[in-house]
Amino acid sequence: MIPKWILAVTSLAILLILFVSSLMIGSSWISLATVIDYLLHYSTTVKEHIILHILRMPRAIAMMLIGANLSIAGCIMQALTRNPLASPSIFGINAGASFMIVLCTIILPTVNGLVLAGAGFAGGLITVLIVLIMSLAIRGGKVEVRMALIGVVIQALLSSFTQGLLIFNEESASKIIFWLAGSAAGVKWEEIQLLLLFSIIGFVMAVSLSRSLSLINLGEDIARGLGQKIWTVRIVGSVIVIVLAGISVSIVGPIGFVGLIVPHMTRYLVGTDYRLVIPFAGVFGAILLTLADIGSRFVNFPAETPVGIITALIGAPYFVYLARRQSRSSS
Amino acid sequence: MNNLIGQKRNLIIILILSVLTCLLMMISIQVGAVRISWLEIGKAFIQRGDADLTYIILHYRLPRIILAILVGSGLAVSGLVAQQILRNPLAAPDTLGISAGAALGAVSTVLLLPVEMQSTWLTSLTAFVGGAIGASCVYGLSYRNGVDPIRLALVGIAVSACGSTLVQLLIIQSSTNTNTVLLWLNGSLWGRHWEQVMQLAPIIIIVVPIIWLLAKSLDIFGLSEESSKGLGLRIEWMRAILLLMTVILASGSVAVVGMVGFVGLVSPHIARRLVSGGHRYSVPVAALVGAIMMLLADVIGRILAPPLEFPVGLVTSVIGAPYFLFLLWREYKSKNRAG
Repeated sequence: MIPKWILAVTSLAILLILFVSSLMIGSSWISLATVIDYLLHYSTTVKEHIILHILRMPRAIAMMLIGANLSIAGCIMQALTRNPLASPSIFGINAGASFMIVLCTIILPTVNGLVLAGAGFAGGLITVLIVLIMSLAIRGGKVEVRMALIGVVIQALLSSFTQGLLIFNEESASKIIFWLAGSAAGVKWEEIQLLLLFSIIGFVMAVSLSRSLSLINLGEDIARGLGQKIWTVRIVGSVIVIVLAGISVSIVGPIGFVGLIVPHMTRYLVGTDYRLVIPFAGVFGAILLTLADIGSRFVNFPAETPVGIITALIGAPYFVYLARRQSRSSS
Repeated sequence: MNNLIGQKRNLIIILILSVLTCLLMMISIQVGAVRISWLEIGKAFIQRGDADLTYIILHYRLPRIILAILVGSGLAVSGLVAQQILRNPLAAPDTLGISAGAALGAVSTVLLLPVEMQSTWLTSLTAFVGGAIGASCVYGLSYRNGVDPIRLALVGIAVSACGSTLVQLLIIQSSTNTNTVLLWLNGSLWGRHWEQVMQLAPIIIIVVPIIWLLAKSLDIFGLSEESSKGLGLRIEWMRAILLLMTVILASGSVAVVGMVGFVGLVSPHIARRLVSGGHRYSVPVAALVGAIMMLLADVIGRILAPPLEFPVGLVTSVIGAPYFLFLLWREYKSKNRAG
């Protein structure tokens, strides 16, 4: 296995390169010198600086934070449910958050970011409750795979509700459809502040929970034997997932499959110690989503493509691979 | 004697379902943005009524109702056959990737080809090709010493996600018209006229009776693997032919109304609970159940918030998804009891 510090340095370097490229690349190309000049001293008289400040910088930061959030949420879910197919999108948490957020924007069109984030949390909470109830009702058998199937059905149900809501609001429907595909174009600085705040809270909580997650990942009996309070860990873990996924969805819409792929990548590279998995997953998630975001600018250049479409096209084949492997190991 | 009672019961159920279908048709003609009285409807059919109302009835409501019945029975029979020949209770146009593939095929024809090259036949054809590709992808990818039902469903979900993402991408690139997006991704009967009825009717009217005539062969697939293998090569041929018909029925429906969820998955289960005695009965019952589900979903979609209307596919998902969860739960419970 690669030494951890080499992995950490390389991945942070890659992230930095991608971050800078994401500032440079777009419908108008901005040189590296201008970007560095902007980062050192921002001036409102230079046109490129304004583009960077208003459009590219918040977007790049949002993508990094949200990539990290979704990946960490995915890690926690996979550890808690001991289910390699678990992730915020597969279990319908993104869909639940989207539903509440769309409902909120339609009932109160002039709503602020904090309320939307709250709506996202509420939607996530409802979905987590449904999934928990289902997992209590259905035990035994190939529970991992069955849970994923239930999650997908709940997701289908919730997104039907969301799209049903769109009918009531024809004017902003096309904007909401774009948002529902997951897009970071047009993120504002106020939203970044909110995102940063909740991301830091979620991240700190996740790291402090990581030891318990490693133990639960060994098996519930072992964890209980080692003095873990399983239900406390489950509840705290679910709260973290709701906060991280809810705030992300409220800002860029539901972005699928990041939370599914990155935890697998991370465990492959750093092992199953969640004290390492969680921070690394954060960095890898940031890398993946920044990369997908850069890619999304080229699909239909110079027009934008929602980044969620890119992640879905990368993630769905990976899900097939996991589903195949999953049923082999359990049969 | 028992058999005779069973037959009688089956016939009564078919009769009840037919009456229910007719009732829903009548309600469906009546409700909508404009409520039309029975008297006006009667007058319209003998060409004596108010000209506007007659136009609404004959050119908007009637084709729509017929289309709902055609699509519902097409999807339901397609699901029934798929579940039987693959011996998989979770097989259906949606989980086999047929719907998403067909939608992708149809949407790419509609959006990418120049208008003068387009025709309803071409759309149906590309939908069929897309559906066949989707089905082969799902079946191929989930094959590993046979096909496990739940694995098939998961792979189908992923392949469908890919397909509908590509549909979304195509639509976002070419137009941002809300109705088109909702229509293809959810299935809608909005704005459908006689032209679309003519596009789908031949397919359903030819293929569904053929499947009904093949009911005996369908029953054979329900036997154990060994006894059906004893019948030799013919059964593999039969499987291939029936699978082809499944794809034709489902992609024909999707080409006309977009992706309608859960009808093909849920109706066969309801049909099998209602009647016994083989596919001679379950094929027509599934077709009726599918038609009723579509008609009901369409009526609900129109009366919830007039003059707005919900796409029929949204309503079928909202009805079908909980039922599907219930099926999973029951299947798990029966397995648990047996083990």
